Amino acid sequence: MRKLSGLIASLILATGLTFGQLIDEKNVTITMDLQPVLQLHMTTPDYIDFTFDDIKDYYAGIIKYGATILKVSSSVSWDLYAVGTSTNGTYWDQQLAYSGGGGGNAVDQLPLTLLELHQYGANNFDGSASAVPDYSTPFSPAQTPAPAQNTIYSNANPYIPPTTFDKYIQGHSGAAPTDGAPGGSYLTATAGVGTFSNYYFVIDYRIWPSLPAIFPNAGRYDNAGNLVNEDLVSVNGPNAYARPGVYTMNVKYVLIEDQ
Amino acid sequence: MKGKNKYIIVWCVVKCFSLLSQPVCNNPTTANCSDVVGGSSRFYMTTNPNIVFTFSDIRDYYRGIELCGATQLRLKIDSNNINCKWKLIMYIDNNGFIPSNEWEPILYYGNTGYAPQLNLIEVKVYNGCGTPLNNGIYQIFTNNTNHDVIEIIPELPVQNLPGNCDGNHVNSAGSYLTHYNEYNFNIDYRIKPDFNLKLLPGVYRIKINFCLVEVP
Repeated sequence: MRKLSGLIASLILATGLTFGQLIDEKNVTITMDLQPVLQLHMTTPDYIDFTFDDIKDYYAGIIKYGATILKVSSSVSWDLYAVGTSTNGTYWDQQLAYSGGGGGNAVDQLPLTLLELHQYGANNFDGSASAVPDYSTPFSPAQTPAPAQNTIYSNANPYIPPTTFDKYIQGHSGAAPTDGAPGGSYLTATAGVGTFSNYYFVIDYRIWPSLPAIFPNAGRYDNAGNLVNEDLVSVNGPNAYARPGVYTMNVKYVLIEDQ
Repeated sequence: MKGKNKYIIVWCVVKCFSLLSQPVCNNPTTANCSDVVGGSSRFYMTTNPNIVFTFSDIRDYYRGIELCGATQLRLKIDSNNINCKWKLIMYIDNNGFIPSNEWEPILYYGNTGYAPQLNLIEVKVYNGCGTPLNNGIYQIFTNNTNHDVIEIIPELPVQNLPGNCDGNHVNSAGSYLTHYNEYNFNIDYRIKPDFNLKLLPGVYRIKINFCLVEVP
């Protein structure tokens, strides 16, 4: 009994030390909602027309300098790629055929890869072993074919990113730190004189049909890194050439979180 | 004698349990001030206890988000005797999440990046007379770990009385009703995400506790 009363007394003593004393606590819950922000500002005409109505245009090709300007702001690491697409798989959509469609060797399946891009501002976040990781190499001189050097990445589903051996404008396939540009913005990024920041790109376009119109530079690299020529002769055999007409395709610029 | 030892052991066990349940805001050892439950002292937080930082625009990431006066604390301290002194601290709590230096994640928006750390949140405490330690200066929880403490009014050997408004850390009996600029505390919060941190997008949460306790 004495032990029990002693125990009770000690409990009262212990709890009694906090009774009637000043202590209080208030709490604030802080929630941070970090939403991924990927903003691509693009300055470009709605349509870019290439009209081949002079023989020298076929020989020399037509270049549209600085037709598109891309500006990136992102809160996360990112990749940027261009993709050629159409409703006809990886071929241009033929809207109109001229003069009955040409002769027996005329071909209307023109590969999307005949369109060439040149970017100012190189891809500085490419950790791949790709032979041509971006579009920063200047266009090859007309009459000097450089297949797949500047040809656009194409896919029937434009939201499938380029693979290891395809081109990105910035970043590359894979989530390694070397394969994605860090978060930042063209608004604050600085660049040296005569260069662009990692968030600002100027794009030139070129189509070079040559004569006959076989588009000698059309091509891509396969998943093993081998060059695949897609000029009309390589694909369709000797004497093939492009059927005269009006063709259209779509170029999408896709900014994605690094992956 | 043995019986007394048993009582001491029991008391120690109870006390230790009490300390463990309140790892930072420990029970006082004196009773010089009136308490806030049965007594007449009061500890008010007049602002919303839920604070949300939403980063949804690239400008938010660059300039950061600052919430001014998001928390306001008001004290009315009555004394039981002339020795009444108190301290006011705040400590960070990530709900026991491991690693203990990171915010508690609620939801992830992606899968690449790093979790924000506890030293990302900045707090600034101030009042009209500049009584808080580091009054008006943004501070971080420098030890960057759960239950890290920032002192607002530290535990002092001396008793500073109100009314002088000279920047001393007033820690005696008094009230915001009569000495507003010494017993009222405004708290600003700021978060500036750094792109170099490569933070993983998502929703994260922490709690900041404000502890008022009397001291010997």
